[in-house]
Amino acid sequence: MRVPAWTAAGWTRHAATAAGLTALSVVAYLLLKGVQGDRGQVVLLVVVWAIALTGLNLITGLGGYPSLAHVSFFGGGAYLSAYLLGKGLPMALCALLAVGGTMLAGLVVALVFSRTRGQYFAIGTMFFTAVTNLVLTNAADVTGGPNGRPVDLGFSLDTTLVLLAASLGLSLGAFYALSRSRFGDRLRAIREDEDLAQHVGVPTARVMLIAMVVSSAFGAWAGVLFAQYNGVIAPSQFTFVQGFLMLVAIGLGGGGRLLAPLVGSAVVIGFTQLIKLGPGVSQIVLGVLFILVTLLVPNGILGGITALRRRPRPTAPDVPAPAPARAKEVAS
Amino acid sequence: MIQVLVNGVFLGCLFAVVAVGLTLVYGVMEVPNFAHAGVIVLAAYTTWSVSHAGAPFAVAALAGIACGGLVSVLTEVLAYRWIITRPAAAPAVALGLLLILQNVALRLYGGEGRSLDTPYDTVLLKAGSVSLPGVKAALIVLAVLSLVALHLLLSRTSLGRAMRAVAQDREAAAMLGIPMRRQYSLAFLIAGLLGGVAAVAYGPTFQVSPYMADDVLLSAFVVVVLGGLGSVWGAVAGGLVLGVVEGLGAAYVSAAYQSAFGFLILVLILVLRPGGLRSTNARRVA
Repeated sequence: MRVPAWTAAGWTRHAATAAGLTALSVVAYLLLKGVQGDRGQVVLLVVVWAIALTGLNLITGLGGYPSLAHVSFFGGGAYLSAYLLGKGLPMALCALLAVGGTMLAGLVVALVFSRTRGQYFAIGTMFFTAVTNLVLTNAADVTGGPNGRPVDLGFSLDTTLVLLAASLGLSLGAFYALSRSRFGDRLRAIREDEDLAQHVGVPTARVMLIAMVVSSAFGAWAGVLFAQYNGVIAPSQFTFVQGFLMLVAIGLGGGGRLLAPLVGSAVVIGFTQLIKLGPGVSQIVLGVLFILVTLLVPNGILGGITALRRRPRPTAPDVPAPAPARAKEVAS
Repeated sequence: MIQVLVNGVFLGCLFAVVAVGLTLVYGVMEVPNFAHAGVIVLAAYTTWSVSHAGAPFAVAALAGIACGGLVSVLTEVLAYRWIITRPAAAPAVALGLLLILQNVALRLYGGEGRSLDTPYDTVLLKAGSVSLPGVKAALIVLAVLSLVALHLLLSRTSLGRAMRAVAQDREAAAMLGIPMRRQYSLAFLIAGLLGGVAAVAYGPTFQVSPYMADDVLLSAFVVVVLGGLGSVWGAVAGGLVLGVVEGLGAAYVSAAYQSAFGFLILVLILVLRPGGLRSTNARRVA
């Protein structure tokens, strides 16, 4: 249920969220600026992934469709901006064209696959990512082949950091607005029961199409920033395993919840980058963790926390009764 | 030209064996079994390590096939069984299993490719200008044999009849007293054994590595879509069609983009014939 925007409670809620996200951006900037070396790389990856995953959270979290194509949009933004920058265009234009071009690709993918249901959608988007990766690896004159290509410096490092931190807050804010709009409600309706949604007049295919195009924009912009910070990009950063890990991050965080991209990417990046368990082991742990969360806590970490907080505590009888059940989405 | 077609048939048999395993599982349990690639990888590594330890190739092959069946049943018992009431979670769980199985292989055997030697490595069948290496011929023979065996099982035995009943209507089958859990395990067992056959048969033509089955799996999924999810004979026909198309594409357009032709076909089917070439009761498009 939505908080009506025109009530005082609604505005307080929106203002609190805006303040929280602004604070998050500031913290992100300080961390990006202050943390050096390997850990700095981890902070960067978490921020970049959180921006990209905000888009995935629309389609997978709200809409319930497991998209494995998101990593291709991420890679598309990175490669397109690097290619255009190599042609000598100004950076702002490159970024714009890269995001626009990727959205166009997203539109084509969405036109084909937005009509397909769950399993077929997963198979189709997975294949799309595999083919994108094949192109990145083989079209060596444009993409630099399997070893990747360098990226010219378009933004100064400090501009990139500011943009990263600001984009984190802004994209989460955009998600907040979208998820509380009619569009968000329609996506949720599709997730709950697509047949019923269609029956009551939700144009399901069109909503999915728009969600996919919008989500590709988030992915592409994150890719542009990632390429600028990293300075070199390679196909191995955009494989379908990465695409699947993005899905894992959303599932672990709690699909459809505002902070799921941040929590999910922190867990996934933390597991793969910080904890050195030897090759493969961290991914095995992630796989087991992901299956357990899917089986036991379908709403992810954030959903689990919310459920725990809301549970009445029978052991302490004189605790005042919990507040009347509030709307599920509000508490996230 | 004929050489290209023969190569296409080879690919097609490979796709068919993998795709039949996928479609059987989907028909019975409605799970897109991405973990099948992991099963194939582990079966191939088992074959490699047994034959590397000095056992004759036939023993190693049987060990690999058995390993495929075992791992496949394990995925069902440990994971898929628990989401039978929530089909929406199936793709996520399947991909999680794939991640686990591939990384187990990576952990146990390392990332570098291993080559699997067979007694028929050096055989080369020739008919006019067309040549067929023994490895590929063995794959075609194995594929045909195992598919015929599967056909006999499905059409002539009571087990097969029960499995077809489950695929047609799960609730009605359960009401008639068919033990569902046994059917699930059986479907995964057969799929795993077929995966093992695929691993033993095509391991020698490629290298054995943790990611050897990714491309094959994707192509096999295209085959399954082509034939209609849940349709065994659709998968066989689709496998041959896709194998020939990919073979032609690789020969006349670009070998590097071989699996992209499969994707092209997938897109074309979804746009033009949303019901699949052969319609089944499995629904895929809104």
